[in-house]
Amino acid sequence: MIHSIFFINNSGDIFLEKHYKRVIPKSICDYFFEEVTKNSSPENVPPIIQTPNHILISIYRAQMHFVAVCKSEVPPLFVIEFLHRLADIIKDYFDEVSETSIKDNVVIVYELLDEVLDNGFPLATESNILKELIRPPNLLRSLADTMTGRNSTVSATLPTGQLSNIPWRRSGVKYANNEAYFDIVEELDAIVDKFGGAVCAEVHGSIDCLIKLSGVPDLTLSFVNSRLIEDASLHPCVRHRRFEVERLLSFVPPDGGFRLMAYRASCHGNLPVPLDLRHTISFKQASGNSGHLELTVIPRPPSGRQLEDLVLTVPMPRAVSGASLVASAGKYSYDTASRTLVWTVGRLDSQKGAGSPTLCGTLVMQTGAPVPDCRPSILVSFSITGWTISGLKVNRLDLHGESKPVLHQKTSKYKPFKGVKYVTKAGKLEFRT
Amino acid sequence: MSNGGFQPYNSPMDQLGLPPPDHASSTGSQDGDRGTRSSAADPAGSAFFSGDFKKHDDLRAMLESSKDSQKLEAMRRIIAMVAKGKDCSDLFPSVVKNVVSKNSEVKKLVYVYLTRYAEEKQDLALLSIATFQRALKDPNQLIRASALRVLTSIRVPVILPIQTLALQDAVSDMSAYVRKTAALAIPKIYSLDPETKPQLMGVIEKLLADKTTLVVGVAIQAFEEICPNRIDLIHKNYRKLCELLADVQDWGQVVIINMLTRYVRTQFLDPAQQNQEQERQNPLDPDHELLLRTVRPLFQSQNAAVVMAVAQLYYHCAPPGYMNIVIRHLVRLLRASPEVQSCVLTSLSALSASSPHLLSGHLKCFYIHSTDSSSVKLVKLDILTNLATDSNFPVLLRELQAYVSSPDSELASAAVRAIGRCASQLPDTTDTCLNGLVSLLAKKDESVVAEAIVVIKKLLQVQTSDHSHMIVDLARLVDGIAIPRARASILWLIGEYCDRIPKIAPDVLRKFAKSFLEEEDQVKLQIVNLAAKLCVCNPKQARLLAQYVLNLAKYDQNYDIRDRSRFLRPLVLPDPSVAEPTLLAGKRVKKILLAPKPAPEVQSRFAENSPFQLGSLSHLLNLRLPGYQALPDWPAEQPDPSVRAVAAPAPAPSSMAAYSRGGPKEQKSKQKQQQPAEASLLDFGPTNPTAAPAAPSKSTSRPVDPFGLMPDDLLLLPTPSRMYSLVNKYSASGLQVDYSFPRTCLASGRIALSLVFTNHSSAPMRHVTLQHAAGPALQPPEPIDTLEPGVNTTRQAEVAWGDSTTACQLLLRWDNGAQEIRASVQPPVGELLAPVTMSAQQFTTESGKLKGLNEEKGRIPEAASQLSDSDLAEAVRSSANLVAVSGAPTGQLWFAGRSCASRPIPVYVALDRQANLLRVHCEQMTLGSVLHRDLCSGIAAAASKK
Repeated sequence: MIHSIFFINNSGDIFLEKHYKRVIPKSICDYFFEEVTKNSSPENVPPIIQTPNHILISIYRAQMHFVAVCKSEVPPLFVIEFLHRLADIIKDYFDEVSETSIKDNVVIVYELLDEVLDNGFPLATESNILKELIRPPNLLRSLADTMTGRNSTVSATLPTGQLSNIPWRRSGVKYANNEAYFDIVEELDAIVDKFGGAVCAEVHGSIDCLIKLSGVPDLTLSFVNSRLIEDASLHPCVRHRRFEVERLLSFVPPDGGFRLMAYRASCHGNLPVPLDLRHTISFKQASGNSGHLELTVIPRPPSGRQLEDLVLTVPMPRAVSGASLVASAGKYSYDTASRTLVWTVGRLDSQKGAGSPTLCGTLVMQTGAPVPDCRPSILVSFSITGWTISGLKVNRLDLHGESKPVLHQKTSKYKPFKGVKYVTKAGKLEFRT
Repeated sequence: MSNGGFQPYNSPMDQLGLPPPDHASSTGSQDGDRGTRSSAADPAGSAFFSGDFKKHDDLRAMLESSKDSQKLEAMRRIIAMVAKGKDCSDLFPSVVKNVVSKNSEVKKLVYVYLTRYAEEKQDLALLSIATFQRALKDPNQLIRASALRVLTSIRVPVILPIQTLALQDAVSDMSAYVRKTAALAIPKIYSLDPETKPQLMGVIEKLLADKTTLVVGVAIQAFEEICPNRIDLIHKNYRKLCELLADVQDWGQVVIINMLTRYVRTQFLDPAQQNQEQERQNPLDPDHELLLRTVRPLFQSQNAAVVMAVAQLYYHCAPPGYMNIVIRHLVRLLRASPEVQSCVLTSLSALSASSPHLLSGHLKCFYIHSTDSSSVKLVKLDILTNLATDSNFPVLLRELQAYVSSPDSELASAAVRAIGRCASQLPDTTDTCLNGLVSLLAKKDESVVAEAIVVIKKLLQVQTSDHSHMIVDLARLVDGIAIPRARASILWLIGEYCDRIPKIAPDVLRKFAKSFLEEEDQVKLQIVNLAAKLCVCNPKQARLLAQYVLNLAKYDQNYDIRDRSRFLRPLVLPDPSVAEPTLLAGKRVKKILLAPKPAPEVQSRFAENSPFQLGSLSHLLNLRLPGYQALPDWPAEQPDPSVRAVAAPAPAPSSMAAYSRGGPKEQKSKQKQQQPAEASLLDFGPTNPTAAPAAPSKSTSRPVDPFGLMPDDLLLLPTPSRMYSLVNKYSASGLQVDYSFPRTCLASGRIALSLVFTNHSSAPMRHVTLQHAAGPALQPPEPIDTLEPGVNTTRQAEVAWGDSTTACQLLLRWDNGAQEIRASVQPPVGELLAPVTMSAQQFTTESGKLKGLNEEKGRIPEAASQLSDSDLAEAVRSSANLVAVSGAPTGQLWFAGRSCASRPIPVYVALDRQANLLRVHCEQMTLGSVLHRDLCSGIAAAASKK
């Protein structure tokens, strides 16, 4: 399926390559570079590039292109998902996916690459299993290894998960503090037209967990209002039937962090976009060669909550060469290279009555350039903690399996610390002007 | 870095004249690798290896060292170089020696190195083979597997016999992991020598029969690569594959579903066809339906490739009514990474072209965000225009107009084209579109204006009504427009409709005749055309101008223009000296030049149905790639369905919970059942482990009682209902509580429970109470004051379950609260029902209303053939609280009932003994499917009792 994988950074260096069948010369990447130069930004490089004898399938993540070379028919999403999974594994191992983290750990990455695919077909992609096969770098352990003279990151025995019926969980997990954290993050995707009405709005949520529980815990997470969950995708550990019948999540979790569920929230009627925007942007004024811009944010957070991390981004047309504005709150900057105006408002404290922050002033237009005749969109990002826009709420989390009373009262009970966090963020939120 | 000590060894290597690093990196790439790039590719500064080839000698010495740590350090550095694409093949002899190393990481790295370079150093690679052969016999399964993996990855034809032998051994290895490795090795050997195909087929056949989820996925992958056309190998494994599918790793799921799509297309009849011919007649083969049902949960996979695979299976193989769910899940994928989004959109755009009604409800999902990548924007526009209908047009037009004023000029012009396409698709909207497009002409962005003109031109061609004022407007605009395509379009329009604007047309020609020399070629061509047409319609004013233009064109540099003028001149300006032939033409010249022209058609990329499988790479590129297996057409005749029957009917291999969490106590009672490893994830274990020993048959999903009672025990109890255990005497220090469903009808809609409390301990128990802890409401039983040893007492309780089988959590306390234990009662779905008596005729009409998705259908367990009708009826009634319908035709057994919820749901069960079919009609699908399963297991249990 996958013949070779190349890692390419933004400056066009192929800094890692791995071949699963016959070696494919890296000159194959020239076709890829051709596409890169054709497109203005790396995000615009098409994920699938056809060359005379090969197909290049690539993803762009963390300023890097991961390119897989295929020769024959293969489901394209299969390869794309695999590359993303690979990046996830790298992230899981080194806490971040970046050129530096890969280069610093090139041997481990190469060992991982060898383990995830065999002859181009996925072999082991569960990070719990991989971590038993190839141990991630860890300062403490490397110290211990130096002391004891043990020196190998590769395991000599098969991870138990491989053969068990819960391959996602490694065996013999033990924690002194048993904790389970759930982050429920909802993102609002919306387009608001120039009159302030939402053209389309959708809420997508996800539940990310960090589970540090000993043994083989069996968890049940139930919701107060599970009917809000419309289309969901579930981690393989979730028992499907129970979700379908009872709308609750019953699962034996993998160890560590993972995404338990992603869903689309049903939102009938109008969604409350938690802020409103007044805007006038014109590129031509009666006097002189300058435009005018005025932005006012009218926050409408749910009661008791605050808008945080509020950032407004306006991509300007090429003819705008600068901006001289006054912000009543936060800071603004104008990047002349990419022609984007970024206004970082930050946190809007509703108690203090900060009111509606404004950004107002003139836009400097390039001399001689025709007055642009387009309407830029304003991209907005914010976050509100402790609140979900759909109203989804966790009812309770039950732990079974590890707290079972064993015959004659010899129990291995532990009480885990449970934490649930709610956040609402702006996903792709844009205001048309 | 402990390499300091090895420096002195460096110098001799210098003389060997090793190639500079740039060349080294391109050993495999003689054809123009950009050397500059690879040498520049070293910003990480690994100054240690970059270019300094003296170090190789140093590495060699380290590899020879007796210390593992030295070897490991050397191997790590070598692998780092290999990863960068540098050539390290000269180290091969030193590295290969270490294949025997005891250190697992050194060994792993040597293996990695070997697979990379063995092909280049075939002779030396042979040195390592003996080690692998030995490792193949190692007791450690990981060592066996990795030896097999590396051995088969060494692309050296000489060792082919050794590889084949090792493969054949590994196929029957005890460890599933080794068998998986073996399945992966098959394509490797095949690519080395395709002659081995017959042998490999035998191996594949063996692996296909494997029952572990670990193996089946890769076995199918091997099947797909070696012999994708041997569908006959699948027959015997079809049902097993369907059952295991949910538990296979996601990558395997994709491969299996894609293969099964082809299988279904060869083995079953087209469901869409059948519906038309003999409606109401059993439209789907049970096996066909089995697959559609088992893949359905996979729509909720987190892996987009799996979702897409299921979607294409439904698209290609399911009856048309099933498509709605598919779209919903595909639309969800649009939230995933941009790469996934662009792939899914391509498939959706194909769907939107072939069946727009499916997507019409999701119009808003395709609205364009300004942050979308440019290719995504274009595909979304394509979908939006495909979805345009008269009813959603006003909304859509407003949206498209918003795109026109987007700063992205590519999107803006594409949006203009899209408006044009909408207008030509929906004739009623043409006027609105035209007005909208004309208003765009005032814009300052030239490319948008140009695009608008081109679209207007096309639309006017379609339009039959008079639009002369619009053409006049365009003619006025022409001076301000510089884009040649737009100018040419205006000229063409004026020429075509010159009779409608007799005053302006000659004037335009006059202006353009003046500027003829400065125009672009395509504009010139249109000037010539205009001149010719005007000359025919309005010779008085235009003849001289035309003559002038044609003269200019005659000496133009472009041969097309010269040709055109040469062709048109005799037609429109006949030479008086040659009278006859041109006169003839002269009469018809108007017909020739001003003939009505067919309107151009604007189509989506996927306008014609693509022949490729949805979601495949070939479909995406619209090009047949090597390895693509064409989707076969449905067979005309039903192929023999009995080929899929397995000799010994597998006793529902997934009878055990997906994950066993039973303590030793439970294990004992489960001994007779299957290994948990084989279980299906679809079937879930008891909800509450505390209650596991007590929970009544896991009714919601499992065919066999998990409690551990064998069917024999269960049937000893008479109907109304079996006895279940709530609290086991071992877990509750002597108190045992059993319960049954007396099936008495309660007006409140609650379900009655009859509880039997028994004291197995030696001391009396005081004040035994049962209280509600969680779940559905409970009307608790009366407390028992004293329970003497060896005595049992019966109490009644009621639970308001409604339609759900949610477990009712209970708290059992005795000895004044000193002892307490939690338990839960989960009713089998059959106990949630109440019987309803009705006539056979009523039954037929009522059950006829619940068809399609509301009908759960499957085979009656084969063992049931030995049961008499009355035994069978007994078996059904013991599993569910239903009543038989009298007057059913012979060979048919009908039962009717309803749920006890506040809004009762009717439930109908029909057994057709001739067709061997068990059908459950119920508008709540989950209830129906669970009941169906319970009935099947109940019948099987009754049969095995016989």
